[in-house]
Amino acid sequence: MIKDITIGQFFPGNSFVHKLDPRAKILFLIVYIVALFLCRSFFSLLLMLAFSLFTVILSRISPKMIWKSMKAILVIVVFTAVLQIVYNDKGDILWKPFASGSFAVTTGGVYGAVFLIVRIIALILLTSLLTYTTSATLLTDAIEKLLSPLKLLHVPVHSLAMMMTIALRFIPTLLREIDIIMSAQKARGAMLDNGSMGQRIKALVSVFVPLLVSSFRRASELATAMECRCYTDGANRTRLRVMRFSWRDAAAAVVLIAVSFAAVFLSFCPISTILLFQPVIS
Amino acid sequence: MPLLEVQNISFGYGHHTPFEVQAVKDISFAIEKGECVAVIGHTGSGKSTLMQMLNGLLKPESGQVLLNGENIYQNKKTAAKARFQVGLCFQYPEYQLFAETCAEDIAFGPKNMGLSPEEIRKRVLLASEIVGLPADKLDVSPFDLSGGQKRRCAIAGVIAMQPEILILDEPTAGLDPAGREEILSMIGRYRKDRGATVLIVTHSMETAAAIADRILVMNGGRLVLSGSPEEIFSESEALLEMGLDIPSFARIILALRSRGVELPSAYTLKDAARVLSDGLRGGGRL
Ligand SMILES: Nc1ncnc2c1ncn2[C@@H]1O[C@H](COP(=O)(O)OP(=O)(O)OP(=O)(O)O)[C@@H](O)[C@H]1O
Ligand SMILES: [Mg+2]
Repeated sequence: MIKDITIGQFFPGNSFVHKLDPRAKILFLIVYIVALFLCRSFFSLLLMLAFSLFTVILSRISPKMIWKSMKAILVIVVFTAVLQIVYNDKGDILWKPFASGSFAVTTGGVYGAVFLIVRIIALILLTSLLTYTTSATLLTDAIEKLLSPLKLLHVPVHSLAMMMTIALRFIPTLLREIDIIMSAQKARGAMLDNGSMGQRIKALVSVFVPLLVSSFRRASELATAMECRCYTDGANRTRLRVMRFSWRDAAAAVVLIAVSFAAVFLSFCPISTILLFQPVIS
Repeated sequence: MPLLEVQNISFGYGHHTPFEVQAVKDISFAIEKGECVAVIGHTGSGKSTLMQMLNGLLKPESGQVLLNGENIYQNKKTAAKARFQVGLCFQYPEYQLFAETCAEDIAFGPKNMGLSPEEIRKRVLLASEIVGLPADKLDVSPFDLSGGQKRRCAIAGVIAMQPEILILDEPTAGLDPAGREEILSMIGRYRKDRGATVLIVTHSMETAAAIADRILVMNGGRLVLSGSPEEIFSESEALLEMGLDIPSFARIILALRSRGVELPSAYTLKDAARVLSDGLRGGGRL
């Protein structure tokens, strides 16, 4: 299952999304996330979800692979959604399993749970699409460019961008490492996939210790390798490829802003109240 | 009935991604009790993937794995049991050490088997003796050992489970020549003393020839050759094409034989030296 998580990986390609300017992609993502959290109604969320699905199709990344990657994370999402149902007591009571006590499933809880799931799916979809379609080098350059005004405040922008990129780059590597270590300990009978909850948690020690050790080893090896290649902050570096905004970025911006406005507008518009789905979070 | 029988197993990674690879393609073979079999192949030929399917860790996408005639992937229980019967020591096993002392790390497997403390202690001592880990290192943190010692400690952790088959994935990778020699002679001793069944994965034809009764050659996920070291070495052209190198002394002997010099075959450095010196002493045309 862990092997299926592909977040942070880059899949080279030639699609519309791949060709967007990486700076634009990061800005779009920020706009999208803000709009997503402004959404207050079911329809606007659906619109946002549809938009992210449309982007996935445009990127020509296999939806099956994204689904598999997401499935692993959905376990946590569903868990939070269940908590939402259990602890939210706003709205009408739908089901009261125990006559005594105050526990009840309410409309507020159910809506909250559905909202949470849809919102997080939409969020993960588009965020993971950023790394799926942007190489690490471009991503660093873009982050650096976007943060460059901070240079005036003597913020080490280049180092920050580099750190972020390395962190992203190592997600797949570490996932693979976890997978190997888990298999090796399972080969010695570690109860990672069988046994009681307590046994499983205890067996995790045998995974975390080697993982920690190897992360530090990797970090120091990478640092040495970078030093051997005379890596410096690159304050006066010039670029081989200069990033330029194109018509694609303009088109994407127009569509995204239209969708976001529509979504936010729908949140406060009465047609969603007329239909069954009411705004839930006030 | 063979101890372990593999029937047409296949496995692929990363389905539905651009990085999809079919790592193992339709492989079948059998291993008899007491045999030592070497699996060789170029990097990425699927050796490690194949090994993980033999002990209940990785379920083949098709085909089955029979241990003593029983399919190990019948259910979760049989797969979990197979992990103790088929001891798999991963590539670079020293990266999987985690306990506070070597003794505790070696005891991890036996503990998971649910053995009594006395039995566990006995097995830890025995296993560390087999791999040649000095007794005074047992109470030391595994992270303070040298590279070769770490490797031994990790191998001991698998041997302590006393599996019916011991699988070692590249046990000599990344060791210096002396360390490699020591690990190989350790495996040889382990086999001789216990009549153990051993499956060993390696890149090196020399290692394979020195230790194995039979060699399986993998290329691109397929099993392409299988036979005694002699049979495999006589296919030197095919091996070179697959990026596997046969040692130069073996090539010299093969070349001499192809020119009509009568020589017995020799696939280890020692044998080659003996064969050639015998030939020279005999006053032949060598
Ligand atoms: N966890 C994994 N996820 C994706 N692909 C993998 C994974 N493990 C192995 N592969 C791929 O499967 C193929 C076979 O790998 P495998 O590790 O079995 O080869 P190997 O023969 O053991 O190589 P080596 O000699 O380098 O150890 C390779 O192409 C590899 O990239
Ligand atoms: Mg391998």
